[in-house]
Amino acid sequence: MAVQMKPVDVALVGGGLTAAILGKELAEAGQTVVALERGGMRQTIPDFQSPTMHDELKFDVRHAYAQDVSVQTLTFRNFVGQQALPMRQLGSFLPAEGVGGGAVHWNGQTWRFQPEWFVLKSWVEERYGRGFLDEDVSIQDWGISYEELEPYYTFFEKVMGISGAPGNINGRIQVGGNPFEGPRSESYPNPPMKQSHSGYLFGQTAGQLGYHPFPVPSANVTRHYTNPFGAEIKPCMYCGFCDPFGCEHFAKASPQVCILPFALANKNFEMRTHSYVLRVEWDRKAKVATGVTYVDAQGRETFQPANMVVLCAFAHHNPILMLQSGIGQPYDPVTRTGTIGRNYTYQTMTGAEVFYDGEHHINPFMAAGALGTAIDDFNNGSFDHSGLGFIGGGYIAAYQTTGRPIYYHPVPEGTPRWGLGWKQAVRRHYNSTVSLSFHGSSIPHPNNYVGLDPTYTDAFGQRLGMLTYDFPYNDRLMARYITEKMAGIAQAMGGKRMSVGWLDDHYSIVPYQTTHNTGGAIMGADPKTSVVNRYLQSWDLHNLWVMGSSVFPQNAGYNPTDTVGALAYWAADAMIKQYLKNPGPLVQS
Amino acid sequence: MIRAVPLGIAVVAAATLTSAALPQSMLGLDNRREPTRDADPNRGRFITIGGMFADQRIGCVQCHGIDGAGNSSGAFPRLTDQAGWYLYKTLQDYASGLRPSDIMGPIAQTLTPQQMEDVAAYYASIKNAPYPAEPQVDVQVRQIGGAIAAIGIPSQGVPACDGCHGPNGVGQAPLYPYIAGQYAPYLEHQLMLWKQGRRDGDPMNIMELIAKAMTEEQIRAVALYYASVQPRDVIPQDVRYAPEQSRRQVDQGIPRIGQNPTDVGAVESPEPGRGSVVVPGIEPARPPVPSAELPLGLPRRPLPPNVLPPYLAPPVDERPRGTTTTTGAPVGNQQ
Amino acid sequence: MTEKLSRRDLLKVAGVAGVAATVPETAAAEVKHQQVVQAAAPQEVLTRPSQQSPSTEQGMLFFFNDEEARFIEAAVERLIPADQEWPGAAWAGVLNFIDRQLAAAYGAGARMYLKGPWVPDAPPQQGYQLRYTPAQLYRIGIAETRAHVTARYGRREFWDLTAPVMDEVLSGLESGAIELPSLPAPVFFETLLANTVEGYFADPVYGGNRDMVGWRMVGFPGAYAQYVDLVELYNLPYTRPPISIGEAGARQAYLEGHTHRAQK
Repeated sequence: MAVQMKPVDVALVGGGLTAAILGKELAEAGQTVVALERGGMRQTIPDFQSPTMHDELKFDVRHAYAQDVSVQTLTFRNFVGQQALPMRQLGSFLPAEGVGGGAVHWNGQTWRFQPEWFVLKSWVEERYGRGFLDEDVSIQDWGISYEELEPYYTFFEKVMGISGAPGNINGRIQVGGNPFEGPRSESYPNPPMKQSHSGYLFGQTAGQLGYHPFPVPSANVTRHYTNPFGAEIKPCMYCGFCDPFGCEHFAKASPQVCILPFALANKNFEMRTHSYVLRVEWDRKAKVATGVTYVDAQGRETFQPANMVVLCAFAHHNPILMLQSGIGQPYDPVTRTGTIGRNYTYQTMTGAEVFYDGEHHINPFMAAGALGTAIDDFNNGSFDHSGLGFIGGGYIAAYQTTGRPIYYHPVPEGTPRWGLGWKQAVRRHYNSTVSLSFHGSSIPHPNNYVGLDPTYTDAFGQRLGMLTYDFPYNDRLMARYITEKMAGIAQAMGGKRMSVGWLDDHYSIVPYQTTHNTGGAIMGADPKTSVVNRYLQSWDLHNLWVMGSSVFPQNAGYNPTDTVGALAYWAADAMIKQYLKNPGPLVQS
Repeated sequence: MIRAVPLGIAVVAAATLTSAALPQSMLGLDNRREPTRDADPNRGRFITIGGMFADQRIGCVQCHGIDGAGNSSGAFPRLTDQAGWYLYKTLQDYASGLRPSDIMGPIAQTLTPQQMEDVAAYYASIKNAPYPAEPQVDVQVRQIGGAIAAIGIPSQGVPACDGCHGPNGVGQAPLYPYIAGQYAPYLEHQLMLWKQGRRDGDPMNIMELIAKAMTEEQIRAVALYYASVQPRDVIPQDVRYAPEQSRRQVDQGIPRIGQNPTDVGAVESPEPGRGSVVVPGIEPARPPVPSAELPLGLPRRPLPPNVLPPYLAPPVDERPRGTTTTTGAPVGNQQ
Repeated sequence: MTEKLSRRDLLKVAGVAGVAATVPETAAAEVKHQQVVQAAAPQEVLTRPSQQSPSTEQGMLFFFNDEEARFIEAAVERLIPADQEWPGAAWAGVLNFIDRQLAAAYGAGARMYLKGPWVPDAPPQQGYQLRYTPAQLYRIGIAETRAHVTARYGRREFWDLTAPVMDEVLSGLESGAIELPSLPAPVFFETLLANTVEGYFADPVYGGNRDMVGWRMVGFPGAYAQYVDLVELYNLPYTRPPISIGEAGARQAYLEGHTHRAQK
């Protein structure tokens, strides 16, 4: 018999960024809110203080702040028909655990999506014609436009104190910013970061080649800043320990610094830690969620009744929770019907390294998570795809984010993997190498989805989620085309030699690539092809909402956090201004 | 009128210099050599005892002592062991008014940059100057100060001091000064100046933000705590990789400049291990990159003159050179 | 050299030098052997932890037995060998590092999903699929590699081989040319290689990267790090000695760092 908790108005599944946003807003709107976080509490002081925080082995290699896969993991396969096997160690991506979630130990690269991304299907059809793409490219529109989301982007950036150089203010292109970005209603709240040596070398060359370099928008805040709530964010000290570390200086925007203090101060809000949510309970007749069942800190199965349930867990955890709760129709890759788990997307990453063989002291340890110089000339809306046979794109950047040597010790191709040759190459190249990265979009494909595994179970006896993913042909073409451009820049940067990492193999769950998992519970205008409506409200249960990058129909060639935050404020607005006054579907299906 | 320093003090001071840092032959009042752009602790020492002012005879030693030990009045900090670059920058800040001081401002303004370098080099070179007696502090106050130093003040957003000022406050050369063993009145006074908005010179105003978030009691506690820490007692002895004949190599910390293949174009350092903390002016200080070269006017804020790289290598020719192949093999006459 | 060498120290010497050393069992033989090794080994090899550090915990093993330790120390020294300037993984204490890792949560697979069923021959994209925890993997991998070596190289142990032959064995593990009965050799090799790099570069508080040699070699300044005023000084030769979490190096940083450049 499950333990019964006192009913609340809103149960938030998760205690990360979107839970902090909704928790604060809904509590202030008079709702009683409980956030159920599977990990523990942690705060800037004492948990994030250096020098103990500056521990590459503990945080970066052993993943101290990431999900414990001994409790719950995923199974993975490349193709439908292959046997999925459990991800026994973390690798390709690192879902977070603990209050604040990934926004505690992110790098802080805070990009808006170009307007085209939100209307991708109509934009492609209008611009390149209906027959341009293979039918397997299951892109679709988001049901929301950039213009609608823009005020929420602006607000979220103010909350986080984002630092950057604007490129387009109300349609006027700004010198020094990203000329390809969508029009923003005002500048960034804070000036851009300093430019690193590698960023300078990259920007200089890219500019000479006719591209448009600019500083990466950053949540590593560049000056003393007070956000709209009154939270004080302090300036970044460029210590080189951003991702996956907590910031000791109150300088990297995180829920703990920017939002949570105001939620926790509100008596309507409770952060209930060490609470592992198993499923959403719902009334089959009335078609409403009734609460969530979770395992509490003592290991007791507990039921938390709630008028409203919001899934604020990590990207693929949200659709997996819906599958485990039997909500909605699971996606079937054979018949291509159903919605839950559909359009799982990721990020298409390649890299290049320029080796100066001692001609520069790059000092890679003088770093910050979002310290970088980028060009956006190859993002989706920036160039013509005619005749290329693919859609999408991404940005190319020279980030100087880390010199932590367990993972950062670049060596040229052809270097032995160990032994004296390796050691001497590491020594030779550590301080004189510039790394470029291409951060590419991810296009949905019918093969790629999130389901439930038939065989493996988690520590609570529930079926594991199952991930089926490989890079679609579209994305391989796209990566090839833009990686060639990146190689051209790298070549022009004047190093002694260079390496290029092409996308030439199947997706692997092993090497870390990025934690930008997206999709699986996507938003849209049609309940047949989406899980939530444009307000992130479930089509099936009107009092169930889904936050986070789970709702992206496809992943843009940018880091997702800015859009995740903007959508959370957009949804919070709809909840408070529309839904709470008159609970029911905000969009009729 | 301040009188000349008795010769005896100079002799004592000479004895305190370790031979490793400064050979005996370099001691003594030797101003006969041609001036160079190098910082000369010897010349610096001459200045500190007032030797540069033929008649007035005002010197640093009157207040800070020949060994830089300062005194506990709160106005005259201990300078010994402070990083040379930090001392130089401090003199610059006094001269420019970033750190307003009726005493140090006029003195610093009379010094040329070369003289500032020399003085800084001199005080930075002194080792083993005695520490002041530990202040008599209430245990509880010291504990509060120690907690602030080690973990910060959660409710006020004050991070741990040690994070930047080094383990036990021994500093992080060249920019973050040591504060361990510094006089409590001096530390308290500086934090109060920041709290009142009367002091500058800290990167990103970080110290001002921190001091403003602290109460006067907390400032006093942390100052007393650091005054009671004496670095030589609290830093553990290192285990060194040290076969004797290659000790010199190891002592450098990282490979000697000029020898490491990654050091091409770096400033040749005559003594190992000093590169990060040299007094400015070894090379003509020049901005690393003219902003005019930036293609789209990438906003790079010009650096204030006194934080220009003191030991920066001559700017490297940034133009693309040579070609490479995407397979990583150098082409033609690359090597 | 008046200090008596312990057996462990001797192992260390033998392992580092890569000489074919047999381990005498009596103290008298040890002393004699020590003299032989001294004569044969490069100078830096003789810099022993017990000389450097009075702490008795150096050399204390939690997981490996003596023979496993000899194997690991010899192997990691081939993966990251000593050269004229910088010591190898053996001096850096990588054996200590791996030993402590395996004795603790990592070795026990504390954050691994270890439920069956098991499909050990899965494609590489699906990642590690063996039953073993890292500790079990090492125990089995070492035993089976040693068995392979004694069978293949005339009853000699791995650590008795010359350096090129050790490299040959390691390459065989890496490529899978050597087949071990209970596990794919490349999995064992890759784990050992990854842990060796970790031990060479991780903070010294974990028992490896002794004297922060890994950091000194590349120029990484360690755990105490703030570069707000330096990041835009391109090409800065930054030479502040590193400082670790446990404050190793703080004395050197203090004494050496807080001085000035002498004149030319």
